[in-house]
Amino acid sequence: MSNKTDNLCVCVVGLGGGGFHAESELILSQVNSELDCVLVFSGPNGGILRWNVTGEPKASYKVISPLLMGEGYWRLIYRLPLNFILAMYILIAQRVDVVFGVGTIQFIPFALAARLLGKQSWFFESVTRVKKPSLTGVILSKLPLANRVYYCWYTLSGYFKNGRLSIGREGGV
Amino acid sequence: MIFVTVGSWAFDELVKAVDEYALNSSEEIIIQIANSTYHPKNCSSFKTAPSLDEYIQRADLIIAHGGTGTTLEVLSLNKPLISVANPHVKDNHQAEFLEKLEKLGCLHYLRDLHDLAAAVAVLHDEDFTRVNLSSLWGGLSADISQLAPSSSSTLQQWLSSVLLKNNFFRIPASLISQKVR
Repeated sequence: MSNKTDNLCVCVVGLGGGGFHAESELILSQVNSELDCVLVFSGPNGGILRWNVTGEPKASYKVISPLLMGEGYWRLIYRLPLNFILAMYILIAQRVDVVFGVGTIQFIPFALAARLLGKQSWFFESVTRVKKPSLTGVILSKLPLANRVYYCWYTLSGYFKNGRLSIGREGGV
Repeated sequence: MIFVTVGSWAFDELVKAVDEYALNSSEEIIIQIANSTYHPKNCSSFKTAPSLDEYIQRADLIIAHGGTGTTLEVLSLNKPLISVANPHVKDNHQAEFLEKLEKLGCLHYLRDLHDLAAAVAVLHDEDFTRVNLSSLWGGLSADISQLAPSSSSTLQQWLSSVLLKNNFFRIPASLISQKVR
């Protein structure tokens, strides 16, 4: 049984209805080629299960939320390894080509799994991060987990030495 | 109609300020208060709704917290927006984000809730700048468009077919709501 088409298979992590979700939708809705999207929801109880991008998602999964509002960072110690196992399962089962995430700490276990499986992983630092990167951004600036890191504002270029600016100039739209 | 939303957070300061404004306003005002503990007395309110689209579409003006989801949704519908940074958010990154968008002319960033009435009066009169925000992500979207799918080895294909026999953690497609703008 083959579940692979000729389209690029993108695993979109950190969904659940919030800001990262909205940004992921905006980015992928502008992609010119057809995509097979594997959606990974991780809000409380999966969060808001929606996908406002053209084309039916290939598959959708609900994984453990890495960190909810008001919780201590220590919860990451056991949640991230659990999500790493789920990430391996999803990436192998769905034969994903690239892992994609906006802002979310959920990207870390998926990027690690992608690295081990020889897959691409691309991270976008959320547009809300103007002067300082997020915790995920800091981790990715120090560890070579992601193949590519994109950011939106020139002010972050000092943090992401090998990152790519998604727009050309400071404040320019 | 003025629609006010605080996202999924609590934002008592904003809800209270709008409620005080509503006391002297004849305009219809609806507030989505989420987990806020202050309940408005001078206008209608509700905690949450499956979608805020209907309210945003109907409104002439939106007043909102500075969350990305809400901000991008309102701007994509070309509605005038007054944004207030929620001080309870970690790192105060909402304030930085709103300052940036204000510089681009997308919204009015309200720094002091005491200035709410003045901001509402100005925005009702002003022809609001429409900025295409999509170019913020344009470079990345173009790069993804150029990626080619990889080929799978026989072992990978076999493993995939074995794992797909179990639907661990899988969400049925029927539960995913989809609405493409």
